[in-house]
Formats: sequence, structure tokens, C-alpha cells
Amino acid sequence: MRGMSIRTALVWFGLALVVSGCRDKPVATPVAPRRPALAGELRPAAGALERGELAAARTVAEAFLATHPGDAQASFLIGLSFAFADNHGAARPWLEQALAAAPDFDLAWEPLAKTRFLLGDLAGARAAYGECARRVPGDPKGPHGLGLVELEESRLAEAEAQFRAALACFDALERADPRQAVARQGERSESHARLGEVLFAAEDLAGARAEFTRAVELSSGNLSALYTLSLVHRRLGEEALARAAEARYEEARRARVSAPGGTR
Amino acid sequence: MNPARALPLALLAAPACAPSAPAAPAFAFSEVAREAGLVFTTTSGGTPSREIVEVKGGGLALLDADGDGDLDAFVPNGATMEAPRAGPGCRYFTNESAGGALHFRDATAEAGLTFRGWGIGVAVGDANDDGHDDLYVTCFGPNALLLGDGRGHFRDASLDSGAAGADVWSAASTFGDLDQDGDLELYVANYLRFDLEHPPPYSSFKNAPVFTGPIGLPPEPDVLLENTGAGRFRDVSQSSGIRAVAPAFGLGAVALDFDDDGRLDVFVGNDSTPNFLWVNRGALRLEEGGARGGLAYNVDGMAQSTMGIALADVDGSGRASVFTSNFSNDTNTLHVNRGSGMFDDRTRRFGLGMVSFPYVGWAAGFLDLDLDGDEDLLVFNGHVYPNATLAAMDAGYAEPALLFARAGERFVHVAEPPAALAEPHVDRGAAFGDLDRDGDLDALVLELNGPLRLLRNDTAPGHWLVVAPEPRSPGTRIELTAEDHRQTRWITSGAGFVSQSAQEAHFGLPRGTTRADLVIRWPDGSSRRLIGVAIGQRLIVTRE
Repeated sequence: MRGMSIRTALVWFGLALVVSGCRDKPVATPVAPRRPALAGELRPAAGALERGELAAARTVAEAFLATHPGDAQASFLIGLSFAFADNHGAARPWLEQALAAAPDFDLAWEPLAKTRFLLGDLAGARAAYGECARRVPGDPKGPHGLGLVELEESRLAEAEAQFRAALACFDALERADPRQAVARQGERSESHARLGEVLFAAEDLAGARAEFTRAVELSSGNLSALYTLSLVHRRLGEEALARAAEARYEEARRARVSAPGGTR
Repeated sequence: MNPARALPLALLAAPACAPSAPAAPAFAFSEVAREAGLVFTTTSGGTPSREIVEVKGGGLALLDADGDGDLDAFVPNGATMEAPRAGPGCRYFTNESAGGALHFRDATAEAGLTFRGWGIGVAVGDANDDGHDDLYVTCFGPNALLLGDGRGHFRDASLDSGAAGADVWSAASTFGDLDQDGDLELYVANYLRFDLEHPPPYSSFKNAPVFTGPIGLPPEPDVLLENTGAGRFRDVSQSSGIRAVAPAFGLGAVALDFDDDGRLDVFVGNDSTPNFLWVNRGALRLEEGGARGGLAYNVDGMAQSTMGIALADVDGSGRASVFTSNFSNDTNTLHVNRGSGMFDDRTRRFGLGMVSFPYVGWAAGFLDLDLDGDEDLLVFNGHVYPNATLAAMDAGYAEPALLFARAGERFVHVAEPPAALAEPHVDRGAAFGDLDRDGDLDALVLELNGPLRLLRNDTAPGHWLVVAPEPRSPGTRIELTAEDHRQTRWITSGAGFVSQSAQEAHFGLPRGTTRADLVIRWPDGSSRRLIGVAIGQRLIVTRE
């Protein structure tokens, strides 16, 4: 489980449309989350975040906050700047401050949920993902996050239902806005992978194979899906397919870890 | 829902406790090291740590070194970068507890122990087949073999045994009769090459400056030593096949028959590199099966920073599943043994995932701490970077232990553990055993450059049985059946984190249990079956 990526963040900022009502019966009625207009003085901070200039973004937002104490948008941007650097312990209080100041700041619930999740606070993550799902019902992030929490708490049936709900949201999004759906293929791949994990844990090997296969089709760099697919193939006695998946996994893994230097 | 999986889902999706309000048993622990006479502060480099060589701390061992029936303690202890071969020296504490009151006495000198190298890990096994426990100390530098006489004395046989090995950084070891000839081989998990004179430049972690490693430093290949008899060893690393794969950053090792073929295999926990499962093909030929078997990576397909290792039958299959503790910003991992050398990462399914994400985990043990008939899980934590804070690295430097109570199909994090476990420390090794012989399991914990802590288990009394097989061959399997309740334990060498827990099988038993049946199976294939054994005793079981 890795932290929030810059790419994910850019998708957020670019997110204009989501699809409502997908959990029960998918409909192609795009609705926008409530997003208050960004204060003019904060636009450079948002721009810096999009460019990955996290310290610069923080500096701008902090300056704004000095003259606008408790401002939700500035707090949110500072929180994001930490979250993008995988500093979730630092991000959390800023995101919570943003939502305390403006509970209807819908965009802030998902990063708060993820930050809580990555700090091991499952109850807090559940609450925030729940808000996310309630406030932006067409966004797959809410049910996907709830699925992760359910999986952590060993509620496989509930986890399965949430991941299927997330995938239904992606289906609806594809119908409503194919371009947006393509931009979010990595996320969709991850929902398939986690659904595959649930089915694998429940010994539904054929179901798991289908989900991991779809995850890999959507994102050839999904290490989790590639790796677990090889194990599922092997369990099903499909040795040749297992080896092929293993080889693809090793190739992708080596590419991921080949960066020189570093610590871990 | 697919009808084919309706049943397993229904079975698996019914945790015994609601996640928001887990009904955890009332665990109770007291820290009693000082009053028990275990007063000793360990050394591993300086404080604060400056380089990776300083941060591993080390392990310790619990064994009955003097043959009086209780558990004594051995601490290899480390040294410093300034004097890596001349540290303050190891310590041996003899257990002189009486009447339930824990008491230890420093008997290092009278035991003849003069080891002063940079000790990291320790494993116990009868290296020279004389019926007495010996100590193998893995070091930053040549390793040490200390032969025990069973009366509380040791002789340093490092050089004449051939077991010392090269001047490298070894982290962990495990004894096991890998060639089934009656004596114990030694697998040595080596870490990396570190030049004290020329430490590498600092790197960064979450944008904070930190010492470099393990990534960025060359891994040190592991070593397999064949016991050629009478406590003499020869290096068979090449011929055994363990050099056929790229070396990794080894930090843990444990020998056990993981694939049920009657031969001991070796699981090696590697830091930031894929774990190894050395599958024993016979005649001292080992083949790497970790990647194929699902044990090399977690479910995300990532190699983790494996530090601690704990084994347990978590699913009632009678097979040993593998729990590993890992670095922060990652979860600890439970690989469930599915038989035939195949493992599935079921960390999340068992409730052991994200709760561990902010912690750097080290020593770990599955232990029935509340004597209710199932094993709980205890993990000791502590960061490696002295500048770790919640804001900077999502984790503090000193961290509390994590206690999980077994509750039905999963483990439940005990959010409010006893104060002795909740207190943050920079822990590393730990060894578990019934030190006061009151029937429950205590823990001796080693903190990096800190005082030893003795955590006495004061949880309410329950039913128990301790089985001490003779010989205590690593890999010995002990199966207990009481009514329709089956539990399995194994005697291991090494494991935890570079430590040696008591080589006896401890069972907690459900209320109402009065007798139990036992099957003890040694790695050479011999076995004993005992019917209707009275509980509440420590039972020594010899081979017929």
C-alpha cells in the first residue's frame, strides 16, 4: 500500500465530473462535487503542487494562512503538500483543520481518509471514506476506500460489495466521460486487484483470476495484480500462465526498484 | 454472489468481534528487570545512531544452560564503531528464581564467557552432539561458537570448529539437521558489507537526511555450514546451491519443514530484498522456492524489509505459517502456509495489516498469553532513524509494542495494552519463555542501547501445559489434542528477531480441559504419542 502520488493528485485537480447513483443502478448523470472557487492568492500554491514543488506550495499557503487564520483551502493545500511527500503524520492535522473549518469541502475528505488509513487509523479512515462516499456518491474513491477498510477488518463479503460498487462507478464514468475514465485506469485497475485479493482470500480462484487479469489489462505495471495472478494461476494448475505472469511481474518489479541510491 | 464461494465468504466474514469494539482479554504485564536482578544496558554503537551498522541492536537467548530446569539468559551484546572487536562483552544471567519470585544473577565470569565482539544475533542448538545446548553468536565480524557443558560453563570453539566464518556482517543463524545425519547444520544469514573507515554518504527518507542502507550497499551472501561431526563445520555454501541466487540483506533465518516432505527447509527473512525459502531437496541441496511459493513478496508484489519472524499454525491446518515484521510505511505480513511449499499473504484477512503501518517491527512471537487455547501475537517496535517523528516520518523513534489478541478467525489489535507494553521504546530482540515457571509466558526484551526489560506475565491464571522434548532438535513438531481442540507448536532455533526463545512448546488450554493427548515428532522421523497427559505441568518427553 503506497502513499498518494502526484499523479493521483493531478487527477483530483482535473476531476470535473463524477457520476452519481452508480452503486445501485448506474446512471450517466454527471454531477460535480462541491468545490469552492480557489482564492486567487492560493492559485500559485495549487500550481506549485501540480508541478511537484511541495515546499513552494506550502510557503504560499502558509503565507495566506497568516492573513486568513484557519482558512480551509490553505490548510487543505498544506495538508496535500505533506501527503504528496508521504508525510501523513504531518498532513493529517492540516486536513482535519480544513474540514473543521469547512465540512462541506468535499474534495478534502478523500485525502484525509487516505492519510488516516496510512497511519493505521481504520476507524477514522472508515468515517472519512464514508463521508467521501456520501458527499460524492459517483466517485469510486469512497467505496474503494471503504473496501480497503472492510478488508483490513476481515469482512470479506462487505469488502467485495464495496469494490464492486467502486467498479460500478468506473463503469458509469466510462459511459459518461470516456476520457476521464481513461485517465483513471490505474485506479480502476487497483479496484479490480483488491477485489481479486478478496476473492483469492475466499478461495474463489476463478473469480480472483478474472479480476487480476482485468487489473493487469488496465495497468500493466500493477505489481500486486501481476504477482498475485501468477500465484492464482499456479494454484489453478496453470503452470505456463503462472510462469508468464511471473516473468511479467519480475520485469515490472525490476523496473520499479532499479533506481540507484536511496535507503529503502 | 457466486454460489461457489458463498460458503467460504460466510465463514470468513464473521469475525468474532465488531471492529469498533473488540472484546480483548485483560492482559497484564509488569516490568520487573531491576527487582529480578537483570540489570544490564546493552551496547550497539553510539547514541544517537549514526550509521546502519549501529541500529540493529541485537538479540538474546533463553536456555537452560546449567541444567537446573529453569531458563537462563544470554545476551551477546554489541560494540561500537570505535572499537568493534572490544565491546563491553556478552552477559550470562543464571536463573535463581524461587517461590515464584524472579531472580537472576550475573554469572558471566564463572561461565567462562569472554566474548567481546560485536554480537548481533544468537541461536541455540547442540552443535557438538553432546546433549548440551550451545550458542552461536552472529556478529559484525567473525562469528562465535560457544559450547556449553550443561552445567553453566561455556568454551569458545569458534576457531577450532570452523564455524567462525569470514570477517563479514552476519545477522542471524539457525541450527537444523538439514542432511538428516543426526547432527545440526548451521545456516547463517548475512546482511551487507559496511566499511567502518569509509561509511557511505547520507541518503534521505521522506525528505529527511538519514544514513544509507541497506539499499545502496552491497549485500553479503549467506553461508551454509555442514556439521561434519563432533562440532566441526565446513562451508558448503557453493555445493548446496544457496549461492545460485543473488545475495540479499539477510536479517533472519529459521529451519523448519515448511513443505511437509520430512526434510527441514530454511526460511530467510531479507531486508528490502525478496525473502528466501530454501527448499531442502536432500543430500544438502537447497533450492530457492520463495518466489514460486509466494513467500518472497507480500500481496502487493513487493519485497519488504523483513526483520522479525514468528511461526504459528494460524488456520488450524497443522502447518507453520510465517509472520514477518517490517519497516514503517509498510505492513507486517502473515503468509499462511497452504501446504506443499505454497503460501498466501493473508495479512489483511487476519487483521494484521494497516495497524502496523506506522511501526518499525522487530521481535515477534505467537504466544498464548492469556491461556485461552489460542495464540496471540506480540510485536516489539522501534525506529532506526533517530530523527523519526510522526510529522517527519509518520512514526516516532520510540514506539510501543503491538499486542494482538486472537479472536475467532482473526487477530484483534489490543488498543489499550498494559502499560508495560504501551510505553514507547526502541526495541529490537526479545525472547519468550516461562521464566518464573508459573505456567504463562514472559518476555525478555532488548532495547537499542537501553536496559534489558523483563516483562512478567501477570494475566489471570489459566490452564496450560509445557512440553519439553528431548532432544530439543530444531524442527521438532508437537501436536496437542484436547477434546476436539488441536494445537501445534514447533521447536525452533533462531527466529523472533535474531533471538532464541525457550525451546519448549507452551500450550494454553480452554477452560474445563484436564487432560490432553500429545504427538511429538522429531525431524529424524521418530515420534512419541502420549495419551491423557495431565495438564498444569512441564513435561519432558524423551524419544523411546
